[in-house]
Amino acid sequence: MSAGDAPTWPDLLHALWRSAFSAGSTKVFAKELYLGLLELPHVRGVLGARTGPDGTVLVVRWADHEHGVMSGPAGLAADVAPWVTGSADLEARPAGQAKITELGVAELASFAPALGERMREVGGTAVVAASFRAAEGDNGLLLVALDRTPEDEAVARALEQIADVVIAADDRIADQALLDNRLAADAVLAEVSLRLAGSLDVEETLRSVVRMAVPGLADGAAVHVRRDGALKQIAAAHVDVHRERLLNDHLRQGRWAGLPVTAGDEVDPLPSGLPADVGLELMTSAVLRARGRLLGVLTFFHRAGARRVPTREFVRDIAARAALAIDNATLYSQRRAEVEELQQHLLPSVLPAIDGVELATGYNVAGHLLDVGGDFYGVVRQPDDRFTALIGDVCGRGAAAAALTGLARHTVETILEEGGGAEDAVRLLNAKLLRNRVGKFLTLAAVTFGKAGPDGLPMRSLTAGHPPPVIIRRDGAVEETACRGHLVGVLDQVSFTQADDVLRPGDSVVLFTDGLVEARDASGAFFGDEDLEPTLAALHDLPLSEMAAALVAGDGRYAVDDDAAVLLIRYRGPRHLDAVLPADQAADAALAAVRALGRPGLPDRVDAPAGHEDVTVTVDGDAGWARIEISGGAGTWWEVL
Amino acid sequence: MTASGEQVVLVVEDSEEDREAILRALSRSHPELVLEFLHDGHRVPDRLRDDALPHPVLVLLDLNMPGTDGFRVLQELRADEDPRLRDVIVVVFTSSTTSADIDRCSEAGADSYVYKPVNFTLFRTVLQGAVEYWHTNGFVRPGAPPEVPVA
Repeated sequence: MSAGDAPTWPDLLHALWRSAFSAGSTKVFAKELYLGLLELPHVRGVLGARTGPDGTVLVVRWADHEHGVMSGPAGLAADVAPWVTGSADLEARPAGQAKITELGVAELASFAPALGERMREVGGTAVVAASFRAAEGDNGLLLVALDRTPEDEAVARALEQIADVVIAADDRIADQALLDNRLAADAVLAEVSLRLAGSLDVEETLRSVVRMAVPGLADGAAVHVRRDGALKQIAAAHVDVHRERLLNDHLRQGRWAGLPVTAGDEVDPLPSGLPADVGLELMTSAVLRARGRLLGVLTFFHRAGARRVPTREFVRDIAARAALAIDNATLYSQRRAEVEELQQHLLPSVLPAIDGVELATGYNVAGHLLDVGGDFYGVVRQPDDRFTALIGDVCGRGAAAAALTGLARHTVETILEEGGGAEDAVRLLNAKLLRNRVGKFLTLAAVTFGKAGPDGLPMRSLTAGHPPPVIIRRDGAVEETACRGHLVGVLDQVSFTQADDVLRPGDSVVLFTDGLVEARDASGAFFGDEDLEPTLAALHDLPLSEMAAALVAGDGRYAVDDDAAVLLIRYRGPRHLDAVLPADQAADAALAAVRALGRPGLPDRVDAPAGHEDVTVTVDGDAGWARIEISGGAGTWWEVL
Repeated sequence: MTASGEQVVLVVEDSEEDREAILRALSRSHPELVLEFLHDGHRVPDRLRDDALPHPVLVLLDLNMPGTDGFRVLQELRADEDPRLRDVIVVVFTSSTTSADIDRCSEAGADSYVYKPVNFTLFRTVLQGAVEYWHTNGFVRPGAPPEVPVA
């Protein structure tokens, strides 16, 4: 042992035991170990190695007085390999948990020449080696080069003590790794569960499940889901992006062992059967099964000799959770499709075409609900060139609401079609609901339009507990109609105050249900509180179909979570031009027609799209507002002047 | 490789917490690796060209960083004619698991796309899994020539 201030061997050993059980880096432990051994008398170099159960050299380290500690220096692993086989014939004596071998460097060089040369280069003439077990079936080796044959047991005893420390540290690290793997598996399960529960997009979620598992728990993974009686590959992942493409290709082409569906729910590693280029020799599969039905298969792939293979419990657990999520999402999708289909049946499939009038509708089905809502609308032609637009909202959801929606809409429409007024229709519906003790109420708004005259298009608005119709004037001014009235299905005696207005060309009427005004923005504010009026003003010139789409989408700022319906009616006024012309003449013809209305201050030209095909050009309006529309193969272009 | 036989992994990460987590995750499992940290992406090309320092065997690249983000760094490396940049292994890690982000990185030339979970244990396992894979493969990209040790 060195004299002076150098630490004593017991001090070093104590420090090693402390490092071995600290949570810090193993690098510190290795450094203390190697430098500590170098402090022993006559020690010139130290070699450490870890070999696998098959003798493969996994890790090597070297330390000498000149270079210090080196991890995996070039060529050392190859130099150590002959020791693994050649040392088997050497005489070894047990010392605690280690086996100690002593030999001369010349003898070492006889079966491991390169290793012998390394020992000589640092001045070694004799070698003391300790071999011992390591975790996971591996073996540890410590080999010390001395500049003279040992005269006592000091070095051998030191190696025996070191072996105890290394074995204990190795076991601790292995236990920690096992614990880490379990914690990681639990963490994956927790994240997977959250994602599966939080999303109804099953395929995207399964893709993320596969991505989360690689490379934390496996080198590759794939998921197949049953579609139309066959298993379809949804996603595959490989830790190596380049090989991920190969993996996808091989799986799609069936170049693998396949899905062990017929073999039961086995989850033990099996040969993957994948071509060698993808580097994944083993696989662990679990069947995704829910309520007794096969939904798919989840597969993890591993390299041969991979140390991190998911446990059977983990694979089964994750498969069970994925299966349940798939099943729930599939059932939800089916139910949702049924709801949407039924909802469509409660609405008119086609609105009537009315001269001088533009109509559009928008409907948002509540995104998260599985019951049919009670919003409805319709447009009914009546005798004497009248027509009535109506919109309503039955309270509640589900089959009962759907039945009442159908009853209400068809009752009101039938009365209107036979020439009755909107008030008559609503009163009759109210009486019918009370007489039949339906137990539900509804709100409704209707606007009856008369015959257009020189002053415009007369309209009479009615509300039965519904948001009153709104008029958007052609200059963007927004007015709520002054109608008032009781809701339907609650009171025997109902009263209504209808409102009369006149639409000029370019004016529009908006009927909507409360799902629209109750849409909220990110701060929680309602669409209908402050913003609906300016939004309508800003959208007033748009084609009505675009305005309807913008409104039911909350104009991109409000989340329309509930059912919401809008019905838009624009009076376009008399038609002044309706012709099929070559595209290059259409704009001039339209502008000439607008000029003929006596409108001052018109531009010299309008920027209609050029072309050579024939197009249909129309001009509607009056001297104060005119709309040009040019329709052809490229779609419809419009301009409001 | 450093003089003592250690291999350098270049970690490009703007978050101090994540840098600390990466250090903790890899120092125990891969003591032979020396972690070198860059806080932003624009210094990566110069670092990889610097022969005065050991050439990193792997770049661990955060995708979402202010300034030069990881995606742009990746594109610049792969577009460079210098094999020290073009052929270095790049492991991208990000909190996104969306197909669009994965495809984008794959097309840009990432070697591994690693999900960065919030849970530290999982984070450590994922990082260790990626590094272990490339360690086993000698830190060589498929199709790229093996690194010639600098004398």
